[in-house]
Amino acid sequence: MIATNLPEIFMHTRLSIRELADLYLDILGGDFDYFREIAYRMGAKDILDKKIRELSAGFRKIIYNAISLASKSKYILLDEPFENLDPARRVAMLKEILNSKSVNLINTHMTWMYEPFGRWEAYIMVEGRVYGPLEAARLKELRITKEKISDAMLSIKLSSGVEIYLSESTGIPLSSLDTLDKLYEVLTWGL
Amino acid sequence: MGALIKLYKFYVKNNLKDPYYWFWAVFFILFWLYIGAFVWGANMSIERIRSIIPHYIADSTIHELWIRMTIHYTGAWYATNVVFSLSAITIGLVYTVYYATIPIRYLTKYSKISSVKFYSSLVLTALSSGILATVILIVATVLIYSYRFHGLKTLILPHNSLAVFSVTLTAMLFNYFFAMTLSLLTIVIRKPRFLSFIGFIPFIISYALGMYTLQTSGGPVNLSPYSAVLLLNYHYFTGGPIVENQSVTDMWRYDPLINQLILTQQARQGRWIPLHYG
Repeated sequence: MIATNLPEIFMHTRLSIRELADLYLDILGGDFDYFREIAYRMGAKDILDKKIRELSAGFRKIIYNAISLASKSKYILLDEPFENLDPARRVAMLKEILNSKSVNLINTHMTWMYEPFGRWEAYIMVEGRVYGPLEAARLKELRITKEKISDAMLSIKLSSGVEIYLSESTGIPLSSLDTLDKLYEVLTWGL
Repeated sequence: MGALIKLYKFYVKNNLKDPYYWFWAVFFILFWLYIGAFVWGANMSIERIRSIIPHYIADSTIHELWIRMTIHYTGAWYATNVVFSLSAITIGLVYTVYYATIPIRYLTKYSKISSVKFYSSLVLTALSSGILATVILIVATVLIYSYRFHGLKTLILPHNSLAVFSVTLTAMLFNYFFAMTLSLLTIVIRKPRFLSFIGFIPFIISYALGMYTLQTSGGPVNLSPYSAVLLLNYHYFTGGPIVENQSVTDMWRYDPLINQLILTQQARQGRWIPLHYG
């Protein structure tokens, strides 16, 4: 079984979030009470009787994340689970994900979360190509440069022909970038 | 089975909260019923019959004739509106599925619900939506036309309610499968953008064939399911015969009871009673 927070897999409905979650968790074999607990912990208690389309982007993300996590599927794929969340809710959501017993696969541009995910395997995707794996916590220590270096842990070739290198010794620390979106700009427009 | 019921309940509730369902399948049809009763039927009255029938014909006979005529008129409107209403419902349901192609693909692959169960729940939803619309339509037809023609002192009830209901539900299934097949065709031929046009084909056909059967009829058109539904509903509502190559608006002439009254009248007076009112 696979669960995900992608909005595309959720039906457009005029029914409430409670009813939508109830349907999905029932047919996915999940736990509605657990969903409700997550929603309460994330401060989304009062929105369960609203419709999805009435929510802000952040609350939608919380609901989709919560349904995915409460599905207790073997694999849970979370697309940008922290996007549009305020700092407090980001931390709260991080705890929920770390408490999940499923195999989680997350994609994110956030660099602040390398450390909490510790020993998770991390892959970097640039222009559709996947590089890795690396230990998530180690990404924090990595630096990026265009100079060819001997101790590079990863080398990434861009479509422009430029090759860049990740190492522990040379270049800009990845952790100095707020998001990996900025990485591409830095790589493209010069280090 | 539990998952199927859950999904079925979800879709039914979703449909009941759909304003398009209520507008196109219910209120728009009520509007047509109103037009039929109070605009197109404005000139129909028992006094009109009295004025053209010799004075020595008993009031009870005139009253009986009047009741039979109003049953035929009501049955024709009911039968026509059923065809319009069901096609409107199916459009809404087909669009619901069309906009849920990714969720359906996901849920049938990664949840307890199979494709067959999913499709079954949709068919059950279509039937339920059809039943609700039909009940509203029958009740509204009986009340509006009974009020219009008899001041609610006599109710114009279907001659065979069970048969009317069965034909309507069968028609709902046909409409649903037809509309769904057309919409799936747009996916098979990889032209999903055509759905906005193809999705309305059942609606357009229902109006075209419905009006044709009502006003003109005859020929191979009578073989179309829309015409068959209209004719069968008319037949079971009125108890009158289905006459080949006759429009529904003229079929009341062939009602045995009315015919008998007319023949008697002809024999006595040697003249023909004009049968068109309105």
